[in-house]
Amino acid sequence: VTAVLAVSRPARAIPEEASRSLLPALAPVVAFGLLLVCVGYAGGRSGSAPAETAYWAGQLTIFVPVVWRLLAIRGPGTREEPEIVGLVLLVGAAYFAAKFAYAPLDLAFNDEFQHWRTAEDMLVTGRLFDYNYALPISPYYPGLESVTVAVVQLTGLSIFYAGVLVVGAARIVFTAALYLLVRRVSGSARVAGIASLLFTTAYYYKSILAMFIYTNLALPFLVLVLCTAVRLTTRRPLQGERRTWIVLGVLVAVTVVTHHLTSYLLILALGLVGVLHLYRGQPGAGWRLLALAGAGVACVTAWLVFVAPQTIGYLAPAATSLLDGVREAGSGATPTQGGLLHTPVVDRVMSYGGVLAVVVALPLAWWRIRRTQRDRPWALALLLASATFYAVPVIRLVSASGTEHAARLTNYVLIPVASVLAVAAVELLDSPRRRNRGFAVAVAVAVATVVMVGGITSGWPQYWERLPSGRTLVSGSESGVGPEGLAAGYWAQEMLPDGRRIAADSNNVTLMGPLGQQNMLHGMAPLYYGTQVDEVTSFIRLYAVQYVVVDLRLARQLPVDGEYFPDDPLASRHDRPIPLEELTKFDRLPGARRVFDGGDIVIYDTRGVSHAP
Amino acid sequence: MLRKGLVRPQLDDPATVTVLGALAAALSLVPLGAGAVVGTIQGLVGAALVLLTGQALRLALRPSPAQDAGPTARMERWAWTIALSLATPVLGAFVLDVGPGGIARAGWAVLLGAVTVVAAGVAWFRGDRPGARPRLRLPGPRAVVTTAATVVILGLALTLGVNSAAAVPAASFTELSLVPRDTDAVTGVPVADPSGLALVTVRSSEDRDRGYHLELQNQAGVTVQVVALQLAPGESWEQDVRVPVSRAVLYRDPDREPYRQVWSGEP
Repeated sequence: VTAVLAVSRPARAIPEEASRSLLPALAPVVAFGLLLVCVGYAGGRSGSAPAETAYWAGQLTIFVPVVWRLLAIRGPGTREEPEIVGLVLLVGAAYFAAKFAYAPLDLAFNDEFQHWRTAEDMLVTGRLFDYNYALPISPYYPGLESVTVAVVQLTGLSIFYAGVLVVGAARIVFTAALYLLVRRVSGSARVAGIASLLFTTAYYYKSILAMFIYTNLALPFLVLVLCTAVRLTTRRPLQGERRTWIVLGVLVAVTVVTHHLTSYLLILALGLVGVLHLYRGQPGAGWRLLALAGAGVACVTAWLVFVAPQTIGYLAPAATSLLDGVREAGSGATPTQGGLLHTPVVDRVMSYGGVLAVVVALPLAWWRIRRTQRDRPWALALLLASATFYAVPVIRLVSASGTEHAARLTNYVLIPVASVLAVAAVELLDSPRRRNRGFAVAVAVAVATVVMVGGITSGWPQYWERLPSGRTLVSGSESGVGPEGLAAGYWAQEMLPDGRRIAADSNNVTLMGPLGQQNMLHGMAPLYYGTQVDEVTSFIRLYAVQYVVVDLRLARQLPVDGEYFPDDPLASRHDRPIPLEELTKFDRLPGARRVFDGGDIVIYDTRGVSHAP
Repeated sequence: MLRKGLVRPQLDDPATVTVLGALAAALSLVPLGAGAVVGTIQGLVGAALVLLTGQALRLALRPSPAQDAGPTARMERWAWTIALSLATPVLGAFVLDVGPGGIARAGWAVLLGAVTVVAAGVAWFRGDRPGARPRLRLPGPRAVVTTAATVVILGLALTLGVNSAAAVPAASFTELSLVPRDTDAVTGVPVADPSGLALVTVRSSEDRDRGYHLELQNQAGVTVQVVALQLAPGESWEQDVRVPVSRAVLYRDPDREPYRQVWSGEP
């Protein structure tokens, strides 16, 4: 915060008016918003009733005053730039701190454990590319883990705290790079500030984009490459062009080895902007960008061919699921997967409201800025890319993991969307014909707030664990991680050979895979629901199940996310917990050995049943 | 208005970065021992080395305006320093991976130290020198008050977040396991001639010291051995057992009902 305030102090050349910065007043307000969010978290852990109110009050306190201030400034905001920069960094830091306060003691999210495994293996073996059963693709994109391991080994911190530092540093780079990108493209500090703030409404910005996950290191590099590439398209001779190419080459390489999808989108973005430069009669700039995109293609191809050929097999199922859903919906059939949200009414209203606000605002924004921006290739690229936002509701409805895929898409799509909306908002509010500007600003603040709230209700964590829970919830993602599950996972790592074929419920699949280094099977629900010995025995043999994890809490709680197991055929149809007898039947299963008893969690060795080694 | 104040450390001076980088790398190579103070020093030195690498690379590659004092340029310079600090280990890990020492503390110290010295040296030989020595601007009273208020509130928020998470009551439980040694623990390959050996383990995650009685039984359910245990939270006990032991039943004192049970034969 001190750094932010120091940065915001006016430089020598800036006139006196700029000293009327509201940053000193807004900084404690934003910090107070964070405090309210943390009060909400504390209430969630202790089960206090007003916790949800404190949480929402905190979210509004962080966002609304800042968005109001940025919208209320007149003109491009050049004089107010120190304040704008300070506010953008402040809000980015506040949201990151809020995520840290959600799970401040250890990792809690499934994907984080998967990347923890890759980092842990690097620490233990001192080598890259060890096998990771929980996320086999992760060791082949080791960028995040490499930096984290360097910090762990040089500082002595744990992987968790080193990861917090690395992802926090990446968040700073991302926030600065996004601001600078939009600043260079639009020429307006105010547009850049508003766009940066609007990006914080992305569904995963306040949670998954601040976690120990490889996207979160790659995304800042994507934006930094684009931000630097703007300099390649300048009309005047570029000083130190060779050095700029070296830097860009390094950044592209880092993106390629850190996250597959982000590097592909980076190449697409560079290609799009390059083609638009050619289209607009700027061949020099266009070919430079296409050369950079070509270098990216060469890097990606080399990586796919020589290091990570399994990437295609990893990404293919998601694309196939999406295309199947689209085809199914296009044929007029009711999609068998995806569909509408199943959340509380208020959440649903805000989620759809947030999407609707952007869906309606985008065409208005395009119409508004069509004349001022159409000759500027970078702005045109953002404008075209923003149209991909319309894929968000489509994916949400038709894809098997619709909500998740749609949310992941907004991580990228909101960069152009926020930029376009910010340009339009500034043009609209600063129009010489604008009357009653105060009312217009209020409307804009209200719309932005709906989008922000919709981002939270559509994003992560899900509504049942928006506030951290004080107890372990069955099928509860972050709140499903408890000491017993962790202990069982570590037991499996210590006592069982790697890669055993293991059946488990959702919570234990999340932990046993990365912590235990085990091959967690999906589609195992019939094993638990089956009541006949012959039926269960046949299932174990058919799938060569070597160990079965039974969590007796499944007989006491309904699954908060609707399904006890991955691919649960009874998903969202459970009206009572699983009968205890269906879980304890393994005690009587011929050939099964009860090898672990941790109270709630019991593990059976079923190799005697399946005859698997 | 600028106020006279402390001389700002010249981290834009390649010579300073070279010296600090070499020092940090050297300290990272020296085993400093254990303890909280030493650990803190080690942490700070390690973090400084990572950041100095990025700073040296920024000075060498100059991807951002060098002398512009505006807030955007300043932010951009910091962003580049951090970005290059992150990028170096990403690519450096591939270098260490093919080296004989692998990915280890010494390797990082040497690699990052070398990159820092070379990059800062490039900037120095090119003739890059920082401009007029800027001075730290002391903030006015209003800024001090608001900064202090922000820091206090932020500190309260994070303290509340951490403390409320730490205060969640931990589950109290004990693990019992009986694992036949019929496969190689590393490869998972079945052992050719299983000797009937199994490992019994008891691990306490209870909220306090607990006493236990462990009964080891044969296939017929007859107790062949009783072990009395006293375990503190976090402690564990283990023992190899042989056939005919095929069942272990754990009682937590003073309870008479079985607390945990496992078996390696038919139920």
